[in-house]
Amino acid sequence: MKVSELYIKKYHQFEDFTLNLTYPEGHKLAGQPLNKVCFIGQSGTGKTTLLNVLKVIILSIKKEIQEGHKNIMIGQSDYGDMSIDIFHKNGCIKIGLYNVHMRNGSYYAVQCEKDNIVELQSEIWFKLFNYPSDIDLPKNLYALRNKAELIDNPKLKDELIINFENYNIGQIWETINETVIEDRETEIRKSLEISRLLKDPINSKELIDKATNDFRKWREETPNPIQDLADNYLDKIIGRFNLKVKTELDFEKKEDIETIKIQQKNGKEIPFEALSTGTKQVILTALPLYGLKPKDSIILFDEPERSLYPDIQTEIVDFYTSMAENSQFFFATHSPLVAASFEPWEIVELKFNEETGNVEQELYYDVEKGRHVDNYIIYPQYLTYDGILKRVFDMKNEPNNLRMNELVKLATLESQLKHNKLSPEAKKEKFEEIIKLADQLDWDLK
Amino acid sequence: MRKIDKSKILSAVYKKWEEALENNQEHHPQYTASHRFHKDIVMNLYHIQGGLCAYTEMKILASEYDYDEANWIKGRFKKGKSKHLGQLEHFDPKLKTDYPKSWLWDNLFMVLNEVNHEKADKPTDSILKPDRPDYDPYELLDYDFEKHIFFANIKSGKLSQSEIDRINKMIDVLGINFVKDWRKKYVSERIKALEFGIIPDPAEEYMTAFEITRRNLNL
Repeated sequence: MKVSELYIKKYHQFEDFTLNLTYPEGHKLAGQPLNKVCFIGQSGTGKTTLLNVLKVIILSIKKEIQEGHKNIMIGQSDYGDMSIDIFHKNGCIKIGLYNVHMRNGSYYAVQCEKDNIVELQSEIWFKLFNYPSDIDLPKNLYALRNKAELIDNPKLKDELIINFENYNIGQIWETINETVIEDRETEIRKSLEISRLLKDPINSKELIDKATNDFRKWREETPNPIQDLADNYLDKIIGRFNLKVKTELDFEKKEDIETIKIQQKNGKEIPFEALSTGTKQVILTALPLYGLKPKDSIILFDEPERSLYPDIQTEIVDFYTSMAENSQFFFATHSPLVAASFEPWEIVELKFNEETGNVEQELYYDVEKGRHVDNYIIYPQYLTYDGILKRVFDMKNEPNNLRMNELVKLATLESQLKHNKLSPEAKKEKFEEIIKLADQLDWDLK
Repeated sequence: MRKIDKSKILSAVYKKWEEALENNQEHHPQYTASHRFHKDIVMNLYHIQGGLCAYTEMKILASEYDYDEANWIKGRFKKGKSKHLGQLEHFDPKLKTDYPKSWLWDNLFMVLNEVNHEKADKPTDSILKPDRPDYDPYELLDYDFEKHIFFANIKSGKLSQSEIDRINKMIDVLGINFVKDWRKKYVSERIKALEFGIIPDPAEEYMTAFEITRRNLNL
C-alpha cells in the first residue's frame, strides 16, 4: 500500500496543491506509486510540512477506520481539506480529511469514497514509521535497558505506528536485543549439547555427526541476526567510520551476549556513549528498520543527512530503503548528496511563487510534451556533485567573486602568453604563474 | 555586452520631462519604483535592449510582445504588468544619490536582478559603458570558450596594461560573467552545431559570446 497522490486544498503556503506520486509514462512502473520520494526546497517552502501532512492524514484515517468508523467527525482542526490516494493490490482509494459545516458548527471529518469498512480496514493495514529531524538520540543505551519504564512499553513489533516523536529511539535496541539474545542462547544451548555428546564415549559417531549437522542446518536456516545486521547492513556504513558490529562471542562479561556492541576494525570495543553523533544516528535510525522489518509500510524521514559526512550522505538513502520490503519512503532533505540518490520523478522540488506567495512544485519535465520519462530534463543521478548543486539546487554561480576574478586573471595570462611577444624568460615566468593559479583554482589546463 | 543604441524614444512624455529637468538644471525627484514614469522607462529600455539584460545579455523579459511599439500611446506605455527578471539600473550609482540625476536617460539600463544587487554602489568606469558611442565589444572583450568568461581583449594588441586592468575590473563590477553557466550551455550548443556543420537557430541571447567564439574558432 502506497500513496499515489497527495492533495492539499489550503494549508499554510500550499493552496490547491496536488502531488502526483506515481512513476511517469514510459517507466516500467508507469502509473504505480513511487517507491521513494524526496522533498527538496529552500527553508520555509514546506518540506517538513508535507511530511507532517502525510503523517496527520495517515494517523487520522488509520485510527478511525481501524476502529470501524467511516465518515467520522474528529473535531476542530487547523488543517484544511486534504486527501491522499492509497494504491493497493485491488486498486486505488481516496481518503481525506475534510471540513464539514453543519448547523451546530464546523467539524473536521475523515471521509472515504469506499463503503465497505472491512475491505477498507484491510486496505489501509500498513505500518507508518515517522523519523522527525529532531530525534532524541540517547547518550547511553546500556543504561536505558534497565529503566523500569521500558517494561511497560508496548511491543514495538505489534505497533502499527512507530512515531519517534513519541518513542525514544533507544527502545528499539531492546526489541532487537530480544532476537539477538534468543539466537545466542539457542546457539549456546545447541553447542553445549554437542559438547555433551562428544564427552560421553558411549555416543556413536553417527549420533555426534547428526547433532553437528543439525546444528549446521539450523545455523544455515536461521541466520545469525547479529552477523546479518553486521554483514548486510550496518558494517557497510559504519565501516566508513573505521567501526564494525561486534559479532564474536567472548563471554567475558554478561552483557556480551545481551547487547549489540560496536568495535573498531582492530577489535577495540567502543562504548556507545563514546560514538560520534553521526554514528549513533546511523545505528539508531537503522535498527528500527532492521529489527521491525517493515513490509508494505510508509516511512517518513526528515533530514536523513543529519550529522553525516558527505560520503555517507551519498549512500544513506540506499541503506535505509534496502531494509524495508515493498515500502514507500518519503525523505525531506537539504542535502544535494542525498538528492543525488533519486530518479528525477522521485524528487519534489518546492519553490515559492513570488506573485501568489504560495509554494508550487517545480516540474522537471517539459509540461507541453507531457509527463513521460523521455521529457525529463534533469537527471540527478547522471550529474556530478557540481552539477547537482547547479541544476537541482539552483546554485548557478561560482562560490564567490574571488574565484570568478581569478578565472578572468587566468584567461588574461593565457591570452597574453599566446598573443604577446615575450622573451623566453618572461614566457617561462608567465607560464609558471599560470600553472600556480590553475592549481589554486583546481582548473585543468587544456 | 552588446553595444546599445538608446536613441529610439518611445516613452516621449518621460523623455520630454527629463530633458526639461536637465535644461533647467533642476534636481530630479527621488528615485522610486512607483514613480509615474518608471514603467515607461523600463519598457522603453526593454524595447531597445531586445528584452535582454544590458550587461549579461541574458533574456530577462518573458515576452517580446510586451515591448511592441503598439503598446505606447501618445508617448506613454499603456500595457499592464510584464513578467521579467530585471531591475532598473543606474550605471553610475553616484547619479542616483549624491547628485540628483536619478532619472537621467543616459545612466539607465535594464539588468538582471542579481547583477543589479551585486553591483550596488560600486564605482564605475565608462570604458565599458554599452551606450558609449565608441564602445565596441569586439575591440574591448575576448571570450574564453573553456572557462566561459569574458576578459579583456589581449589578442588585438591595442589595449595597454592599464586598459586591460580597467576592463577586467569593470567585467567584475557589471557582473558580465555572473551568468557563466547559463551562457556556457547556450553558446556551447550553438558552437557544437557549427562544428558538426549544422546552422544553429539565430542566438536570442549571449550573442557577443557566441560571435567572439565563432570568430576565435574560425567557424
